[in-house]
Amino acid sequence: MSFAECDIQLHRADFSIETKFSIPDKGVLGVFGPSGSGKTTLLRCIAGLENEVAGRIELADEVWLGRDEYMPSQQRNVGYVFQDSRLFPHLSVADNLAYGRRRQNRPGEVIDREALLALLNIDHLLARRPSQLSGGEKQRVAIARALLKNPGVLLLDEPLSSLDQKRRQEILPFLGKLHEELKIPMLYVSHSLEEVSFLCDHMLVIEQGRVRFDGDIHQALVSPDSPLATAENAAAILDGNISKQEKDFQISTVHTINGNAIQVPGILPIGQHVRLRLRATDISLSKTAATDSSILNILEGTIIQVVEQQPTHVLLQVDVNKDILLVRVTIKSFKLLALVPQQKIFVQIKAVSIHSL
Amino acid sequence: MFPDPGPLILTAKLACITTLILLIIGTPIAWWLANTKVKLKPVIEAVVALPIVLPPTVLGFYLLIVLGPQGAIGSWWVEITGHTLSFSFSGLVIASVLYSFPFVVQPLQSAFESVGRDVMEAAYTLGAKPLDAFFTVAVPLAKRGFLTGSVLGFAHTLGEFGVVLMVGGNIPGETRVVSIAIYDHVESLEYGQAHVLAAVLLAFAFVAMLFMYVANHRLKVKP
Repeated sequence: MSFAECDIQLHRADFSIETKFSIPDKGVLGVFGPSGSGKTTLLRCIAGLENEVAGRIELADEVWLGRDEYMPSQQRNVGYVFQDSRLFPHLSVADNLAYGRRRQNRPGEVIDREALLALLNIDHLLARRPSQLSGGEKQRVAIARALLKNPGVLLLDEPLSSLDQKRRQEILPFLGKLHEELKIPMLYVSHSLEEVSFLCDHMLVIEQGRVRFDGDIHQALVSPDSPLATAENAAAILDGNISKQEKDFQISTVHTINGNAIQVPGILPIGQHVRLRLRATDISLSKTAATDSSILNILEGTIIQVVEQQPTHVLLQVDVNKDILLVRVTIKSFKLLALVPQQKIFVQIKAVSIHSL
Repeated sequence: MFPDPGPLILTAKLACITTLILLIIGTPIAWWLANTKVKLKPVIEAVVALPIVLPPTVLGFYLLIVLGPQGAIGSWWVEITGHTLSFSFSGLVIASVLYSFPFVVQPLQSAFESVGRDVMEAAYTLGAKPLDAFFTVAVPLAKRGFLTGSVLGFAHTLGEFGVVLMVGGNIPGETRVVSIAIYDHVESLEYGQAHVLAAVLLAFAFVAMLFMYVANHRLKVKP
């Protein structure tokens, strides 16, 4: 089931968009691409903020865009979080939050205001003016404002890009929590591979206004026909739950969906869902299982294929009990170990290199 | 010794009505100018700004022709109301509206420009219809423009002389505004009365400007 079917075309003198995709009815659809690829414009077309658009946007029970139809932005059931928050400077945080809520006129499940304010940790800011908020606080208020309208879909346009690294790390977990607790679909536009890897369930990779890849996030990150697999910071993600804690060593073990056990630094609550990001450059290969290594995670796998061969290094796709990883090795190692597809191999992942959310 | 207060009252009435009309017709025009992308925009802006540089007698001369009983608007007015527009209070209102037009429209336009499209788009995506967004977002954010426009429009209408003389003449209770009365008093060597009226205008102008700058400072919305 999908929330909406989109066929969006927009032509300008120096730029054009021609995309066809569907927005899944739950989960986060990441819209990823380099700067200037048309991601933001695409999102604006969905929200009804670009009026020279053509094509069709069709939901289960209404049409937002069609040959003779154009539903204005205020009637589309979207929540939009802008890159630059765009809070109303003349209103307090509480009045900003009330603005959309007061104007929503659709029946349906209303988002619990108090719970949302607590989730985003903004309940102590209500009396303030936007000018008294930090960048991270502004963006959290903007997210709450969009959600309190009770939208059918939440559109996020690089909500973290105007923030520094520290603030970004502060908001990312909130977005992760939203993802778990909200039932509505989200579109998350970003040019940060790390952000989309952690948050998204599906991926739409856009280049020059065209869809380069459309599919499941795991596939989008490791499949040879996805441009993300060969990106410089290419990484696979694994979803799992914390199954064991070793308090003496400050290590937790993650049990992945496919049954692999991976140790990560830090103590996390048992049962908690985590997503691990394993960079291709942080993984090494060995023909035998080292027994005296500092590397905690040594797993047996099978080389599936060579994804990319460069003058200095090779990118390999490795299957570890159905968890697919990317591994980047030098040409020298590739040749000396005589690596070939279908070969059994040991994968070594340094625990400290694993990023989790 | 003390002058007839009639011109003062008439002037205040004229300035109030003119400012009110200018706010009503100037606001949509300023909003349109702030947002339009038509190529003709500079031409329209130049026309709006004309009264700033045009000698008042020139504006008054053309208005006299248009508003006079034989003029395009004047003849139509005579047909409807049976009265002439030139040398009447109504004619004076029309002339003042044109004369003070840029003093209201320009501050409003620049205030609306600084509101920008961004917050308006945010309001639309939150479910606000354009008029709703205009009154709940654009107007409060442009309040300094409204203040400046009102004060400048009012004060500028107070000081009008050349246009009034051409279009309105000097009819007590109808078109005899303060500036004309001062001129009259000076002509008849009644310096005492001229002094009083001039001092009233001077004091008022100062208070109006002071009010504008103080309030402008207070109304500042931090971005």
